[in-house]
Amino acid sequence: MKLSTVFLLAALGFCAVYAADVVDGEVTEDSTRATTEDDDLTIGASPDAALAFQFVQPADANTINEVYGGSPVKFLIGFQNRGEKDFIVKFSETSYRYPLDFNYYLQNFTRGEYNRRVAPKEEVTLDYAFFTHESLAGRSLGLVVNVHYEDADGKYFINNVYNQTITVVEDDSGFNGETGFMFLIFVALGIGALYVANQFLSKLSRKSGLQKRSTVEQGTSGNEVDYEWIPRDIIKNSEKKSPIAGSPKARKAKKTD
Amino acid sequence: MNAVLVAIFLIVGIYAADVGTQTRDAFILAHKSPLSLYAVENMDLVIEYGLYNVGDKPATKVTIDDRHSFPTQSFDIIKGLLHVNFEKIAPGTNVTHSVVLRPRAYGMFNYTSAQVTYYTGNDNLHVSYSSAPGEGYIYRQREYDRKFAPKYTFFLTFLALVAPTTIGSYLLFQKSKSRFDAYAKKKN
Repeated sequence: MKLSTVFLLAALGFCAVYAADVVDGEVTEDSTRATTEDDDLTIGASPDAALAFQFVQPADANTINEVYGGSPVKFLIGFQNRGEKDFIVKFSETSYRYPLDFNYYLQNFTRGEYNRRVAPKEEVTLDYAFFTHESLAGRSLGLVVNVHYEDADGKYFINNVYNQTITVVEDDSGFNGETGFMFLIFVALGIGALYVANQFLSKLSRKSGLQKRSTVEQGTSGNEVDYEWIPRDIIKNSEKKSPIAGSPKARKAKKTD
Repeated sequence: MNAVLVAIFLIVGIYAADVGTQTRDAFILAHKSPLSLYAVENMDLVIEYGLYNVGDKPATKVTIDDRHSFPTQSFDIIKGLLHVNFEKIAPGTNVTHSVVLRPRAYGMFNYTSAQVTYYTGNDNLHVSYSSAPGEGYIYRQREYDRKFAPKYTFFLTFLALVAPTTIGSYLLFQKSKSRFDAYAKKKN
């Protein structure tokens, strides 16, 4: 009886252990697979590389995180090799993300291909520039800049150098064609208004002040000559030479002299 | 046990202090870019160098050496130096330096990076390379002129071609006009 119970217990125990073992094994296998997959997916930064990031244009983007829509954004990436092996900086990838969910890509920019070798204890500066479209002005976007590089052994690294929400501001500096033409139209309208006002005022003044002078054409009935219509030089000439009294014959004779 | 705890606390404390006060050494980012839109042989080409200290400590004895990327057999230096020295660049500040060159020949040219050296705090030499503008085309003078030069010769030839019809008729007009003027004067 005692022996049987011992056996039973042993069997139970064996079963339990086996089952547990199987389960454990499964779990551990799963977990290891999961971790390896994770390792494959998330490529991190190398401890031997120090990276720096700096906006060049606009210069104040480093402090206020604002860029201008419709104008280029330039930045520099510094890469410092603190290890003993060469690094090869492959490229940088820049993208705009949805600021509430950085997994959601709004715009992917062309990656900046560098393929530059950085020897140990050396540094390299890489530059990149992209263009924020005007239609994005007034929005805040997540800007992410990743640098991909590998070491001499071919181990691959990705380093995030910029990962922040930036605001795209409308660019009011410089000449804007739209506003320029708007001002031109305003100036034209102003001149037109002045002209109209002038016409109106002159009409008013003529009506009130100069009403006595009638402008009705009366033909040649009047004896008076309207000097307004005669060119000035002719009037002058006629003033100089007073008409000679006498018969036209006498005048002719004088001219032929 | 107590000693171990104290040791752990000490280590953690030192590490935290290190992280907290660990100001990043001077880190110079250097960029090199042409300011001229077109590189043309025998015309000025402006190259700008910018140094940005993004660290938290000043960088001292900063030099830019770019003599190797503009060999004198293919470039004339009009103004500026390809080897310059800055005594100190404070943290968070930047320096720009520009050089005016004149390419002697046309064709593809590979603008390589400039070498920048600087010292951080404890006489620690850093060798850095600026960004490289990459390959660019240096235009022939004639190609550039065809696109952008004021075309005086074209206008002159055009005037010469147009002269017989316009100037001739103008002279004829003047002749007859002067005759009539003389007649009018005589009449008066």
